[in-house]
Amino acid sequence: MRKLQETQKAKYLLLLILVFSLVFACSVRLIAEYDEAIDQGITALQRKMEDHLSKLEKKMARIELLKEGVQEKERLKKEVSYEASEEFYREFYVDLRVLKTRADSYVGNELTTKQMDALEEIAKAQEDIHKRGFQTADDVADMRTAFTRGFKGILKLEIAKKRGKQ
Amino acid sequence: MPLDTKQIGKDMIAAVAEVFDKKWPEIKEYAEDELKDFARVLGRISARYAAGKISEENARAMVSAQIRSMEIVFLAVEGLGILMVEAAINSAIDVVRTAVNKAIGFALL
Repeated sequence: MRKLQETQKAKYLLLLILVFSLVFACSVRLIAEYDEAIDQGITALQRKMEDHLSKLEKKMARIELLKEGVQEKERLKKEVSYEASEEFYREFYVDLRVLKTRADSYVGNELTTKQMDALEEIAKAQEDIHKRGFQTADDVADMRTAFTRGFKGILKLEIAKKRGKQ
Repeated sequence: MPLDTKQIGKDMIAAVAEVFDKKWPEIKEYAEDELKDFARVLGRISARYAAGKISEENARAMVSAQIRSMEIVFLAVEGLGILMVEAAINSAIDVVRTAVNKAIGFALL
């Protein structure tokens, strides 16, 4: 009887060790790991958009200062037109979709892919405005704030995925 | 050495609280700063629209872009919150791991 109880105890101990081992063998991961390619890709995309918008803003501000009929104004109007930026938008969507596909391939990365979807929607809203024509330099500046906030949000989450590792 | 489960429980709560105390104010500050900026930009857009400087279509598209950017912020906040919970769980696990290994006398977990 005593031997049976000891065997039972040993079984429970073994089971306890097994459960502990299974539960605590590794750390819990509730979200995808950090991806350097996404970090760098989003940073590069932000640089492109920032460069594009700062040039647009500067030209729009110059147009606002110039009188009608001035040759420089006509040239600048052509430069800020949607047609002049069409290729830029196409490349932006391609780059963003490549990054989204990469993000999509990780388990637990749904938040990042949703962020990228929202970023694409910001670009589409800007493209619509651009097709109709930007009306003031401040419009461009405000679109820039939307992009900056968006890029920052994506990078903030991606960098946090490093989980304290540098 | 027997496991002091009462002490382990206390240490786990302290470890979890430490993670929340450290990380939550940072997340809150980030969300608050972005919300304030969002409100400022919406104010600027509506002022330009009211002054007749921009069309309704462009104003709507600009507001839509701002809303999308806040969506990205809230998704980041959600992710940061999940990472905070994850860090708290792992801190609690570390407490148990240390206590168990110490009681057993070797690194079992």
